Amino acid sequence: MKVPKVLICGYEDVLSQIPGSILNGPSVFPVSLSQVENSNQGCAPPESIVSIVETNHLDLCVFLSPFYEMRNTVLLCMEKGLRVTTIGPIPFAETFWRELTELTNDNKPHWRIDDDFYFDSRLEPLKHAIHHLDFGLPVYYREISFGGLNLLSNWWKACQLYKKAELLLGSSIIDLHVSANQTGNKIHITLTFKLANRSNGHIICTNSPFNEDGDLLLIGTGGVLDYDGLLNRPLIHTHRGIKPVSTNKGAQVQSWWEKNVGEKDICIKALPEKKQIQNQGKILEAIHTSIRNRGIIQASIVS
Amino acid sequence: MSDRVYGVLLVSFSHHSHQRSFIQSFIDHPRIRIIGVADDMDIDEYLRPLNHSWADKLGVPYFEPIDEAVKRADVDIVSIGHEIERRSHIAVMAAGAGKHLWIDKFIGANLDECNSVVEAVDKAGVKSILPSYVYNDLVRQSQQVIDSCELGDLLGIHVDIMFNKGKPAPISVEIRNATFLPPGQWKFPEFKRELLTIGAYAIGLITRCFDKISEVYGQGDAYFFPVHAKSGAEDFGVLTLIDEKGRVGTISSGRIGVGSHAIGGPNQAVLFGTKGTARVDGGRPRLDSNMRSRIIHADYEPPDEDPMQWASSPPSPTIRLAEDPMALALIDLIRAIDNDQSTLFTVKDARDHMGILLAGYHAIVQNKSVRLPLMEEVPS
Repeated sequence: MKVPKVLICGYEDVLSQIPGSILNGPSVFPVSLSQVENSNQGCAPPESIVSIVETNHLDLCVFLSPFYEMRNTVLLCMEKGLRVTTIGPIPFAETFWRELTELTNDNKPHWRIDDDFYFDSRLEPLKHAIHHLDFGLPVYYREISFGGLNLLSNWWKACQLYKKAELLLGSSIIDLHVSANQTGNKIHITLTFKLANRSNGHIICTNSPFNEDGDLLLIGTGGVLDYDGLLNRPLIHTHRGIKPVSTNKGAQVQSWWEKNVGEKDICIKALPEKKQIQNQGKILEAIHTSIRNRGIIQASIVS
Repeated sequence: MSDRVYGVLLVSFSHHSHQRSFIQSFIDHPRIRIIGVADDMDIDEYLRPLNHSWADKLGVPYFEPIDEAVKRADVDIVSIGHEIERRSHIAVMAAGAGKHLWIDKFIGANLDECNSVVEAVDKAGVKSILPSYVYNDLVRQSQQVIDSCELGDLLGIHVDIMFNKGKPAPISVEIRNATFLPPGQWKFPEFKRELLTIGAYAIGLITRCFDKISEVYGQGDAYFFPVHAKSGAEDFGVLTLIDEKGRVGTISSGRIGVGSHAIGGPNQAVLFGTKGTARVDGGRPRLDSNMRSRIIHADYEPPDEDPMQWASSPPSPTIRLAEDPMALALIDLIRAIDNDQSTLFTVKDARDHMGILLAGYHAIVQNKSVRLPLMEEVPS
């Protein structure tokens, strides 16, 4: 069986979650965006990525973190006939939806958003609790998460949690207000939303230090579900204070890799929905406007 | 140090208010003496006997009407625990008589009433305190975190404050479609507006930590109780607040039903700073008390005479170790009177606080954010 050649692109904090057995494989070409950003100017695809794409007969490009030149980089990959998996939306992609999703001459879609990458082991128990444990009608979803190092990573995380909220509450978000604050390189993004079933929610993403498993609160008419990432990990008392033991995400990533990338033909079955791309673009736009205007911005999402 | 004893007049034990929660602090403080209980003559039927019973219990006289009692020379402080719609009138009258004010939660039902109280207090030069917002552990611990400078610059706050009180019931679709009730009327026989009642605590925390709030957005039409749903009056709501520096505060608050939480309901804050993030649990410090008999014999129902539990709480498997916020508030008021200083939460803070709440309600009605300062005539 053919082993696919794969470009993996992401910031160090995300790349470090990929098990060495994957990252150091002979057919894997990792690119650290931290290094790319330092050397790159403008919105042209980063040279190091162009070079890998031009010189290796790749099968798949996986983008684990967003970056401002991502749209043109993805377009380049698709022009070369490569399949592309992104673990979140592409910044400023809404007006390029046709180019990004059009069928190429092999009549197959070439791009998909595979944000299941981030879905965690709590999802199934949560779904079970909501549907089987007298949770009642959903009223409120609140999740706070460390969204990564920069604004775009936090936007990705917010989009991911948006999808998760819809999934857990069993309804579509019909109204969305965005508030964001940036002080230096510190970001604080808040989505306040209402779903078609009248439940409400807050999604908060930050790049301030926060426990890596997040903090979740779900209120139903029948009761409360909550998850505090810090309380659910071993804590070590050290000379420098109390330190939680890091979660090993390697197994989760390994499983995702085997399911989606491993030793099989790369086949992208589902295109991202146009509505989803538009909404995610509007969230990003609203984040920028909120930071600029120090105000609450209604994002005119399509539900 | 002054050792003057201050006389307190307790104005009304309306069950729309919390006078009963203040009593113990007044009794316990060596420099406070309860002078009597007073109320208006035109009050709800249940209230006069209740006022009388409290007066008897405390061994003090009961006065009608309020204005005569307020003028008594032995009254220094008037504790106002009447319905929100009556508070500004009583507060203006008491301030005019030169009495210091201890007021439960809100100084008026609208901004005009709030402004009249602020004006009267300024003119009379008396001290004022609203003891409910900034003396509790959630606020004090949050303040401690901020003062430690470990967080760096504050970027945002999220607060969840909910009461696991009242017994929810299924809500039919027709009832759920009631139009959201605009702000203005606060007194209802069977229910309270819960953003006002409970969300107010979360706003108290955020305003303590932020600069002036400049914009508010809110939502509030998911319901637990049919009685709220059929009137379009929220029993649960969410708000987003922005301060003048662009910092974001978010709130979830409501009455979420008995038995939904082991320790009274979520009561927590997350503070986001440039250097770190802090999570504060307002339910701590506490002793956890897991007693077999309480689980085996657990069959608790809210009392029939208090179905929404305005004056009762479900049993909790914890023992609070926190200081009584009312006692701390009383110490602050006495300090302010002795030293001619301000308390931590005056009628001016209460006016701004009400402005934020009203803006939140208008935002829900209009489904758009509302900027502050609020003009009361904002169309709904």
